[in-house]
Amino acid sequence: MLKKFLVTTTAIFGLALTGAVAADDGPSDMQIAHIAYTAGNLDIRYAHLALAKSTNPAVLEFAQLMVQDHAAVNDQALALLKKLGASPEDNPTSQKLTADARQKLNELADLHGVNFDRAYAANELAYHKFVNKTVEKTFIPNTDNAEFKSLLGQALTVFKVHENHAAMMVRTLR
Amino acid sequence: MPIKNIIIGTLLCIFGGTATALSMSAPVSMAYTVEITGFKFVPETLTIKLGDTVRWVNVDAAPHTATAEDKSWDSGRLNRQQSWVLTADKRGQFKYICRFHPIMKGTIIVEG
Repeated sequence: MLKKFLVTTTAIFGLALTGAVAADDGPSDMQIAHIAYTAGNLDIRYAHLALAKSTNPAVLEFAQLMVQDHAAVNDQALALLKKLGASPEDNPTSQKLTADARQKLNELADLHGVNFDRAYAANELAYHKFVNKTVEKTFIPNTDNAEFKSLLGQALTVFKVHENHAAMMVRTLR
Repeated sequence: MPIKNIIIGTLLCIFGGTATALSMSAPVSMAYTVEITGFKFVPETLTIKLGDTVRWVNVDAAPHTATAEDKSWDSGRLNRQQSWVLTADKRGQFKYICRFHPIMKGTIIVEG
């Protein structure tokens, strides 16, 4: 069941994020900003669910870290956008990410105990893997604004640490 | 005693005392900086003298701490661009971590 969950999660996020890549000229800086901000907020929502449902200390610690770190990165993104006088642009990719996350949250909410913990950990690993790959291979190379590119690079460093942490959590929960 | 000798003697005492005071003044403290960047403490190991100061400055997007493993000091949460200064008042080797991201490790060695 965990394997099916992981495959499903990978497919959903892969399709959502590659949608951004499939656009004719690639996403604009402000569309990238919206997608990245949305992705961070969605991980915070997953984390809040974990904080409400899990009793596993490792899961709770990870979830708390997700809330803290993604909120910090998003705050910096907002500060940069304000400085640049720019607004993130909503787009189909952000909307698909949000819709898919809503579905995933409902699935996770139906799980309990160790089944929830394992599913949450698996989802975090898959989510971070795809987001990181997209940020590194598509968003950063295609971002025009130097400051925004730098922030994405710093955010990627944070998210790669999260990915490794999620992988460790998955192994621990097997 | 001629007044001139008294004056000269007094001046010698004043300046002699001042020179002595200067030569016996406390050693100058050094100020060091540890940059928290890329989920690392840079430099990872820092050797300083008693009385020196260390300033941790976080340039990462994520918040971090600098927390001694023996719990003797803790910077508390440092958001991006925030910093915290520690004055070395005890000799020893102090291993420390980031409480939020314990993979991050550093060492302060205090000599003197």
